[in-house]
Amino acid sequence: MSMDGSVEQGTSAQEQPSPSVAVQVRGLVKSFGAGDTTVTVLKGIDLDVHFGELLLLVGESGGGKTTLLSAIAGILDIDAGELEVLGASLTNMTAGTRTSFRGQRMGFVFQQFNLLPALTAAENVAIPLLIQGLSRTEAVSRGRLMLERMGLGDRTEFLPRNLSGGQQQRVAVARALVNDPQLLVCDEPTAALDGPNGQKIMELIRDVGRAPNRCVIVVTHDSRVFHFGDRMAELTDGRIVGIHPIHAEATA
Amino acid sequence: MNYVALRMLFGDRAKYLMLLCGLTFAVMLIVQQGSIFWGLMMWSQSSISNINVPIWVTDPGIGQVDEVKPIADTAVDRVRSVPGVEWAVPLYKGVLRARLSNGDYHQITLTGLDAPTLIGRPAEVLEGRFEDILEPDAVVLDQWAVERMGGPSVIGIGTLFELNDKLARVVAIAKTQKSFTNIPVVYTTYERAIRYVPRERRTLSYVLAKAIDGLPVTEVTTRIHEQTGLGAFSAEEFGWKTISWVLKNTGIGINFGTTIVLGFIVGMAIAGQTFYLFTVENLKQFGALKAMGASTFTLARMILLQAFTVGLTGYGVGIGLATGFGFLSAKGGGLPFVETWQLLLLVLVALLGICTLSALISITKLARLEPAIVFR
Repeated sequence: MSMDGSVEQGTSAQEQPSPSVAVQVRGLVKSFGAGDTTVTVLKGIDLDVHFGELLLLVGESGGGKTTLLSAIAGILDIDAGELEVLGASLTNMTAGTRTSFRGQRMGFVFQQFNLLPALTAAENVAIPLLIQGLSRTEAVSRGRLMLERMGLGDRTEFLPRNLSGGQQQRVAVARALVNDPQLLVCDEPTAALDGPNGQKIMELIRDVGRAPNRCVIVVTHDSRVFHFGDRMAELTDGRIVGIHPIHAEATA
Repeated sequence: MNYVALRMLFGDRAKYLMLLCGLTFAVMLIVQQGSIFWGLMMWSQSSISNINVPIWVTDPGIGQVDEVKPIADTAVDRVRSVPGVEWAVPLYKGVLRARLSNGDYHQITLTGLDAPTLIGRPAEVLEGRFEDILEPDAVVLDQWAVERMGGPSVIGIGTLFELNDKLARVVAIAKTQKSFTNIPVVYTTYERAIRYVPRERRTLSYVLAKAIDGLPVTEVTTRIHEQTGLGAFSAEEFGWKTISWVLKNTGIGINFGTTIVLGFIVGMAIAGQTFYLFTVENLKQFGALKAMGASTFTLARMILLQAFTVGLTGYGVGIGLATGFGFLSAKGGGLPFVETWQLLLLVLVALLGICTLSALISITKLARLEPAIVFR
């Protein structure tokens, strides 16, 4: 999977994260099941993700990409290892603190969009702000502004069922970015979209989502969008087998 | 997030309507059956409410007001001699057959009132003057008697009919509460009543009495019982005694109780299952909210808001429908229907119980929900 033949390895477990490191994963282990049916999905992952970077997590199905993403996002408990995200140790946080941390500092883009069907586009975008306690008027107003930035200014009052798949995913990206998170987590954002729409969504994630004070992690198996990433971490059988810088011209 | 919760609830219109229908049906069934049950109980003691006096003196072994056990005629004077009794008058109550001029026979309840005072007379007279009952052969009918005995074209003021081969002349029509048995009531004076009925050793059915102002009724009834050996009850006690007798000796309590319990169980099952399905089908959405930072407490609050919103809406609609049914069916006294605030409160508590239980099942599911579900 090497784009240029070079392989960059993760930093050692003892090393302190530099200020530019947004996510530091060390010796991460995660298993599912119990007894004879235990399946170890992540087998000692080491990984650094930097601010301003768009990292792609790629690899075969069942390789552990989504499990790793869930662990980094703090929505899945891990069995062993250390997880430092945006300067805070997720492993030492209580479930409640982690929930609050996610709400304030992370944004999510899901494969199936997960928009609430009864809410308009603007109201869907406003959800993270409503969770933070903003008034409905202010949250929806900021939701509309975000949608305008996404080129959906004329669709703010549409229900999800009246939007195309690409438009729905743009609404989902707007929702993920509305509270200006420092970590944007995207799970197969192009999987439910056709080629051109998938390209547009990745453009949006790269152009709007990537920022100097933010890092973006995207799980994908869609090779047509690999060139949007800065680096690519390849997972096979629960292990990172390579981390490669990506040169856009090589994959475009 | 309250707004989001309500939009989620109303947005899934089919499920919302099913949930609402289940709860509405349960509330309507419980209120309708409960009100009819209570209406029947009120009818069962209508003789007491129609007579409307504070104290009833009876045979000590009496079970209920319509099961007359005659007492000695001297009982009136014995009750009058009890300290604290302001007045005491006799009352006759018995069943006779009336023969109309067209040859029809009708069973009636003959009520004989104390002539000098007319204590125990109905409060409202629809036609004629109640005082004319003092005229020779005069009787007063209640409105149900007119209805049961053939209607206004057959019987009304001035109509003559026979009671035990003795002449009776209708001088007034009084308004009363319908009785459980719906037997027509014919009022006359006590003296004339005992002339209408075949001679018996004891003819006095009850002694009606009142306590001196300021004395508690229960104190006076206790004194009457202790000094005369007779049964003595306040009107309220005698009413409850009658209701209790009906519940013990008929299947009414079990029949209505079963329907009410079934209504509660069906309502709970429909509401609980639908609400749980509603949560399960929205599990990914709740998972997404959890991933985006919504705490379990926030989600629980959303679920409870949804449950109570649909519950209270169902309560309102159910009460409205039951009341409408009662208004239409009980109009003119056709069906016993008494909707009390106690019943409405009880149903509200039961409904909130249903909603809380349904919500708790869903909340338990959500509390265990791993937000990672959104990535699967």
